[in-house]
Amino acid sequence: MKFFFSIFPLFSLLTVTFLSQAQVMEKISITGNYQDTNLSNIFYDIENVYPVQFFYKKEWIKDMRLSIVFQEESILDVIQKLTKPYNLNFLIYYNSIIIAPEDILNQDYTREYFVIRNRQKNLFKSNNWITASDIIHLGDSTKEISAGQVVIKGVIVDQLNEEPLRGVNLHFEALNMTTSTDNAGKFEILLPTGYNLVEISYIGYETQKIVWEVSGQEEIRILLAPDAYELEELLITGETDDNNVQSVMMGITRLRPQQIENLPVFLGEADVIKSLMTLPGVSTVGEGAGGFNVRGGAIDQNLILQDEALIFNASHALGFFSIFNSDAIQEVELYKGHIPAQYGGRLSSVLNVKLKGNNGDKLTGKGGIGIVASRLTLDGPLQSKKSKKNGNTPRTTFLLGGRITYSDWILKMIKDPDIQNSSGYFYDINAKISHRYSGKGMITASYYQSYDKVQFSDDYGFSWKNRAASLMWNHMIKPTISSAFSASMGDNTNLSYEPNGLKAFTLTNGLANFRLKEDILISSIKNHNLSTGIEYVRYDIFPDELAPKGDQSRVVSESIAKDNGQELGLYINDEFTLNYLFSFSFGLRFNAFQQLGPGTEYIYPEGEPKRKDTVIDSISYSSGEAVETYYNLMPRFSMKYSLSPSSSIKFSYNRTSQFIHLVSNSTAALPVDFWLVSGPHYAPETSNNFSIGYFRNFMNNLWETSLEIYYRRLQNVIEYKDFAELLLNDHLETDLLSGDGKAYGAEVLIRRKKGRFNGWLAYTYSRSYVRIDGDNEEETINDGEWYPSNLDMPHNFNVVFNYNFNKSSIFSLNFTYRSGRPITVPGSFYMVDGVFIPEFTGRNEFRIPPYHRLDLSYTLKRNVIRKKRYKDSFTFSIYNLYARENTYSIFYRKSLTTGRNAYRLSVLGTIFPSFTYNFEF
Amino acid sequence: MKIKQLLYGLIFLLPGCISSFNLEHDTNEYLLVVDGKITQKNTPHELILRRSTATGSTHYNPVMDARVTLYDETGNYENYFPADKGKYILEGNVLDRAPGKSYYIEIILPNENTYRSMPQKMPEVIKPDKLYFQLEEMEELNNLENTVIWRYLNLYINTPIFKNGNDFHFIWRMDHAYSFTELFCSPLKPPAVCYITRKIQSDDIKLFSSEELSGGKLEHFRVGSIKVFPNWEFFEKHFFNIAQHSVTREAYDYWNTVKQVAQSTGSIFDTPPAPINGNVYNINDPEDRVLGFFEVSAVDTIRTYTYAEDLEPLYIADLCDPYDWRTWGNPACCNCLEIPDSQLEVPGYWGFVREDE
Repeated sequence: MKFFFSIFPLFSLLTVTFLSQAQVMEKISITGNYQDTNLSNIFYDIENVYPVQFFYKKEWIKDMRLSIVFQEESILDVIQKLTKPYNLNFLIYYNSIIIAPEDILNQDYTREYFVIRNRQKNLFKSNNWITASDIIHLGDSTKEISAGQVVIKGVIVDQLNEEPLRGVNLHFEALNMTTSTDNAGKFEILLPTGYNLVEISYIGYETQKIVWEVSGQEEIRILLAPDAYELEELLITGETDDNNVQSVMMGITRLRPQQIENLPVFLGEADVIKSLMTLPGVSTVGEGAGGFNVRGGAIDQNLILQDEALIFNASHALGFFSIFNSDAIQEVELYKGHIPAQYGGRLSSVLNVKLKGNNGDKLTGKGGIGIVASRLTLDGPLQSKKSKKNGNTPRTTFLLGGRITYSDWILKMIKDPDIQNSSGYFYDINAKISHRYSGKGMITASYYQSYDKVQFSDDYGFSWKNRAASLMWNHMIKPTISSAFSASMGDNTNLSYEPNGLKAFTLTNGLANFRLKEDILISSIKNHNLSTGIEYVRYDIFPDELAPKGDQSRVVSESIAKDNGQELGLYINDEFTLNYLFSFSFGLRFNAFQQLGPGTEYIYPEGEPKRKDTVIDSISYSSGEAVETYYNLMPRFSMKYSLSPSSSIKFSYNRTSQFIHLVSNSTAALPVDFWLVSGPHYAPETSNNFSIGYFRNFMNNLWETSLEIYYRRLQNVIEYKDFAELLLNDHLETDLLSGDGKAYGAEVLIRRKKGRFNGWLAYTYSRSYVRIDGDNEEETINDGEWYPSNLDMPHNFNVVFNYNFNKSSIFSLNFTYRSGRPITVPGSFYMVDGVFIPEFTGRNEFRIPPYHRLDLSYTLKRNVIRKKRYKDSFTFSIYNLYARENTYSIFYRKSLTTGRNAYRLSVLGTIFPSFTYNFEF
Repeated sequence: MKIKQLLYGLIFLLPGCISSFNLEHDTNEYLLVVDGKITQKNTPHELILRRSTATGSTHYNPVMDARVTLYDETGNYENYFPADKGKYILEGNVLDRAPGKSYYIEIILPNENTYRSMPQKMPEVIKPDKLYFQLEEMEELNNLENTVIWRYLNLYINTPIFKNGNDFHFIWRMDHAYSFTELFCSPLKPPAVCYITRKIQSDDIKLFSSEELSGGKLEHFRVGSIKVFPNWEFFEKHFFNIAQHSVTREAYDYWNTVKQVAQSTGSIFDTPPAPINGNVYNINDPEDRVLGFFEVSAVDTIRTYTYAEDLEPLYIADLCDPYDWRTWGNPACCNCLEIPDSQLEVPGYWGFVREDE
C-alpha cells in the first residue's frame, strides 16, 4: 500500500482530526476473540464485519501477534488495544483507519492524505470537461520518494520566444497549494501520485488547466501562450496568487506595465512611481516632488536600478513624471520590507526596473499620443523571416523606445508673457539588444538616456540628463547553478543657469558611476535557494562648476571639487524551506566603502561648532588616495510561519547602510541638488529595519489582506543647519548636521485581485522622526529632542477601484488621502528697517492641512481579439475630480493692514482632464 | 482660464494656486527687537526698540525707558536719547565714527536686562560712480487675466569694486522726494512749495557681495524699481536718493537671510524657513533670544531726478490744476503741509544737477 505524503507535523491538528472523526466512529461496537492471531488477520476480520477499512503496510505489522478479547467495545478502544503493544499509532478519516508506526504516521499519512485521495477520486466527477487529451502522464513509478510522493520539476517558457517566465502560478486545487516559477522560469514541487489537476496562470498569458497523472519523478517543459486579450488583473501582483502568504519575503511588490495603464493618470501619462504611491508605505511630500518616500525614508534612500544600471534622478519635469517608459517595461519590483542581501547601498528600498527586449516572435510596437507627450516602443527579433521559416528560433532580439514632450503649445496659450517665453521639454530613449546562445544563456546590452530642460522666461532655467548603459550576461553553468553578471556605467548631470545680465551663470554638478556585479544562484540543495555574489561600485562626483554665461556676465568662475568613492559588497543569502510551516531567508552582506581623493579634509576643534573660521588644520589627499574607509556588516533575516494554507505570519530584520547621500535643503529634490559620499565628517547612514506581518487570503486567493508593522532606527542621518549654504560650499561640513532617525508604522492592504470588479484599499500609519543633538547649540535642532521629519505624514489612505464593463471598457477610480506634512511656521512677526520678518519657532512643529484627491478614468479598447493585430484604446482621465486645492506649503506675504498674511500654495489646485490614444501592434 | 495658470504651475512649479490661509500659531512670547544702524555720517542716528507681535497685527509694543549706549573699540561711548514710540536718537556729536573702527551698542532695559551687539568694524566708504534711470515696459497680467503693459522706472548704478584681498558687501536703500507747489489760493499767502520725502520699503532687498563677481566695476546694477502711474507725484521735480551702504559680512548675511524669508513664495524650491539670528544678545542669559540687527555701515548717497517730460508718453497731471476746478477741493491745494511727510524746508541736495542736464 502506497500513500501520499504530507509533511504536516502538527500533532495537535492530528489530534483534533482524530477526535472529530472518532466521535463518529465511536458509535461502532465490536465483539471478537483472538488467540495468538496475526494483527493483519484481526484487521481483515473486522473489515469484513464492520463498516471500516484499515490501511497499513505489511512490513509495519509483520510478525505482530496478539491474544485479545472484545465484548461490545468501542472501535476506538479496540484499535488502541491492538496498536498499543507494538507502538503503533492510528488515524481515522471517515471510515478509514490508518495504522502505522508513530513517527511515520505523523509525517506521511496525515489527514491531508485522505483529503487529497478523496479529491483525486472526485476529480473527474467535478470536472467533466476533462478528456484524454487533457491528461499528461508524468514519471517513472520506480522513482517515487516515499509514501506516494514524487518530485516534479519543470520550466515554463513563453511559447513564442521560449523566454523563461518568472512568477508563473501553478495552482493544485486538490492540494490547496500554489507554487511559482523562479527567476529562470523553473519550479519544483512534491506531488502525490495519481491525478493532479493543475491550473497554470500568468498575467498576459492564457491560463492552462490540465491533469497530470503522476506516477514518478519527472522533469517537464511547459509552453505558455500569450493571452489573446488585454489584461484584467490588478496593478499589483506578487509572483503567485498567494505569494503574499507563501513567500518568505515581505514587503515586495511587482508591477507589470499593462497594470499600470489601468490607473487614472495625470495629463495622460501612465507612471510607474505614481502607481507605486497607491500602495501602503510609499508616499511623496507633494505634487510635483520628484522621487518617492518609503516608510519614512528620504528619496535618496531608494536604490533605483534599470536593467542593472544605477539611476540617480528618476524624475521628468521636476517630478511630475518618472523617467520610466511604461511601454518599455517588462517588470518593476519594489522591495520595501525585506531587502535581500544581494542589494546594498541604500537604506529604505530597492526599485528594480526590468525592460522588455526578449520578444523573439515578431516585431511589435506600442505607443501613445497624449496632450503633453507621445511615445513609441518597438521590440522584436532581429533575424530574417527566412530563418524563422527554416525553424530556427530567433536568437537575437531588440527593443527601441522613446518618449518626447511638446508641452510648449500649452504655454503659448497662456496670456502671461513670462510663461509664453518659457519652455518645458523632456525626452527619453531606451535601447536594448539581447542574444540567446545554446539554450544556456543570454547576453544583453541596454542603454538609456533622458534629458529635461525647463526655462522660465528669461530669468532662470534647469536642465538635467541621465545616461545609463549596462551589459548583462546570464549563464546556466549547470541545471542547478546559474550565473548573472552585469557591468554598468552611467552619469547624471545637472545644469542650472541664469541666462541674462551681469549675474548670468551656469552651474553644473552631477556624478558618474561604474558598477560590476556577479550573482551566483545555486538550487542544487533540496529546499534551499542559495545565492552569493560580489558587487563593486565606483562613484565619481563631478565638481560644482560655476561659470559666467554670456559676454555681459561678471560672475567669477568657481569650481568646488567633490570627493569620489568606491564600494565593495560581498553577500550570501539562503532561502530555505524547513517544512510546510517554516521558511527562512538568511543573508549576510559585507560592505567596504572608501572615500577617495582628491580633496581636503578640514579639521575642527572637538566639541566646537564647525565653521570656516574654526578650522585648525587640513589634510590634502591626492587623486585616488583613500581619505576614509568604512566597513559594514549587514545581516538580513526573514522568516515565514504558515498558520494555514491561506495565512501566514512573517518577521523580517534588515540592517542597511548607505554611503552616498543626496544633499538637498528643499522639501522636494531640485536639479541643483548634488550627491555626497560618506567621509570623515559624514559617516555612512545605517538603518536597522524590523517588520512583522500577518498575511491572509480568502476565497482561493481572490481576496488578499495583510497587516505589516515596521520599526526603523537610523544612525548618522543628514540634516541641515538653518539656511544652510550648500552650493559652491567647499566646507560643506559646516552646514550639515548628523543625527538619529526613527520611523515606525503599520500598513494594511485589502484587495480583490480578479474579476469584473477589482481594486484595493491601502492604509498606512507612518511616523518619521529626527533627532539632532550636537555637541553645541549651533549643531543642535529643537533642543536635541526628537522632532517630526519632513516625511512624517501619519495617515495615508488609498482606494483603487476598477470595474470592467466588458473586455473592452474599464472604469477606474483612485482616491488618495494623506495627512499634511510638518512645516515650520512663525509664532510672531517683527519689523527691521521696514521689512516685516516672521519669527519661526521650532522646526516642523506645525502641519499643513491633509491632502486628498479623487481621480477617474475610462478606457475603451478596440480590437481586443487576437486576430486583429492592431489594437488601440482611448483613455479619458480626470485628475483631481473635485478640484481640491491641496496645500503644498504655507508662506507669508506683506500686507498693509496686517503686517504679513499667511497664504497657502497649491501646486495643482484644479481639475485636470486628459485624453490619451494608445496603440499596439 | 484658471487651468492654464495651473499648467504654468505644472511646468515651472511656481505658485499654481495661492489663497489665504488662516494660521493660528501665535506664541505668547514677544521678543525684544533691535532695529538700528550707525554710519560714518555726522548726522543723528535712530535706533528702535520694540517687541515682536502676533500674526496678523501691525502693532508693535515699543520698549520705553531703556538706556542705550554706543561704544567704540577703545571704550569711548555716546548715549542715545529716548524719543517717542521706542525710538532712541544718537546725536552723533560725541563719539567719532569712522571706517576701520569697531562699534557696538549696549541696551539696558528697565528690568536691568542687559544686551549687547557683536562688535562690527565699519567698512570703507565706496562711492558709486553713477546712478541713472531707464523707463522700461513690462507685461503683466491684471486681475482679469488680461495682459497689461506697465512702465517701470528702473534705477541702475555703476560702482567700483576693489578686490585687494577684501570683499565688499553692499546694501542699497532708497528714498524719493518730490516737490509740490500750492495753488494761488489767497492774495495774502503766496503759494508755498512743499518737499515730500518718503522711504521706499520693499521686500526685494537690494544686496550685493563682491564675492560673486570679479573685481573692477559693478555696472548697470538695478538698485530700484518703481511702477510709474500717471501720478501727480511726478509732475514736478522728483528725486531718487540711493544710499549705498558698505556693510560687514555679518550684516550682508543677515539681510540676505531676511531677503530669503521675506521673498519666500512657498514653492518647493524654497529653503525650509528657520529663525533668523541677529547680532544682539543678552549678556547674562544666552537663552534670551533677541531679534533684529544693529548695523555698522559706511554710506555714500547718490541721486538722480525726473521731470514729467522724462516719463513721456505718460501724461502727468498735477494734483491741483488751476484750470480744472474739480481738483480744487483737495485741502493740500492751498496747504501743502496737509500732504503726509511734507515739509517746507528745501532739502540740501535740491540743487543737484544730473549729468545730462
